[in-house]
Amino acid sequence: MEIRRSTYFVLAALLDGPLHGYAIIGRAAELSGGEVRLSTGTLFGALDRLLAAGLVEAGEEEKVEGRVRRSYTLTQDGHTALSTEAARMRRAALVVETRVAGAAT
Amino acid sequence: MTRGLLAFASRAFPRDHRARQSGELVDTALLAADGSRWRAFREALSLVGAGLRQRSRATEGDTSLRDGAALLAGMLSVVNLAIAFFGISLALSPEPFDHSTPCCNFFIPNPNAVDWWWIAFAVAGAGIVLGLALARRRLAIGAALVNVGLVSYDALVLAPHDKGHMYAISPWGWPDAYPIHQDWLAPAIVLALATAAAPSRRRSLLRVPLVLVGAALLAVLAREQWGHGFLFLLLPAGGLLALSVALGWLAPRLAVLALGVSAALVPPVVQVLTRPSWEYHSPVVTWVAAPGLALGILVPLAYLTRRRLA
Repeated sequence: MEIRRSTYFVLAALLDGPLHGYAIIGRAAELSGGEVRLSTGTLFGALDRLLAAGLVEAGEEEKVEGRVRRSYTLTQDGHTALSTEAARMRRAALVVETRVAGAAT
Repeated sequence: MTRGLLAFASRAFPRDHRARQSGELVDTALLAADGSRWRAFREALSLVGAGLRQRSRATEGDTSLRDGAALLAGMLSVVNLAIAFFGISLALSPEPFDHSTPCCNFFIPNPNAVDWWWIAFAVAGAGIVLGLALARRRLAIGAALVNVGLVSYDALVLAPHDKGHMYAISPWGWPDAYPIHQDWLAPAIVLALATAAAPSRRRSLLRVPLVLVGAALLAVLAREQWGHGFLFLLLPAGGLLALSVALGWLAPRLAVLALGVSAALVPPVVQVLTRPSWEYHSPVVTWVAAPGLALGILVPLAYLTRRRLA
């Protein structure tokens, strides 16, 4: 199953541990070098799909400085799906890189 | 104000969505907006888009293309019955039509005459509505076929000799009237196909009087239009078509609806476009309706093909 770019970076953002919604937006932007700027709608659309697929788990909501937060955690299936996608992209990149390198020599 | 806008936008999400209930959506969007009104506006738009997708997934996930046929059949059956009511109402309250005036001598039938055809058309129309509402499949399909027979007879045998019953819609022969001549033939065929494809599902009996009242109301509104008949329905039909084309990829039954409505409206639009150059050509038809109908057919077809291939 191919994972969308925005969803890929949502999963990647959770690799280092549980994060709440706004922190996921920031971490995804950081990991993608500013290329993936998630809007709230896109983030929660992706989280809902990932929750339904069992790739992410939602924690209990908590109130911090008057704001509601809920942390999201990557599950084992989420780890596997992310690793599989990364390997798939690596193979796809390799196909091009070896040919480009071959043509250059 | 920004919080209010975002709270309002978050209402696009289903009521039981965890992030809407807890206010997590609004709080995250507020942080993402970072005090900028422009970013808050973008966040609000993204919440509305994502919320609508959520809702359509929740409501459309279990629906099939046949549910789209049911929706199409339901809508067309109401208008079909409204046209029948229009014709029958001429017996109760005739139009001020002077059959002896020179301008109208070429109209052989009296537009106010309610004959066997109008009665049979009304019975067939009521049969379709009852069959669909009571899940009597045979009744609905039988009535829809009789309806096609009646409309075909009128459109292909009577109308070419200026004896068609749809003249009653616009006895003054105004070009911007609907449905006149053979206009209702395509919708009647689409109605029969949609009725045959619709799943048999019993509806609440309360719907029957509601449909009858709705059809009667449409007939009254059409009578008020003085010779334009049901042309006023083209604007909401256009809006519905645009909505169905825009959301058809999310809700396949809307794609079916758009396809059916477009197919029903194609013949009169083609007829207007192919009129001799010296006759009246409505710019709305040429520049809005024709391209709109082309989109109304091509885009839903693309959605449905993609869905079938997926």
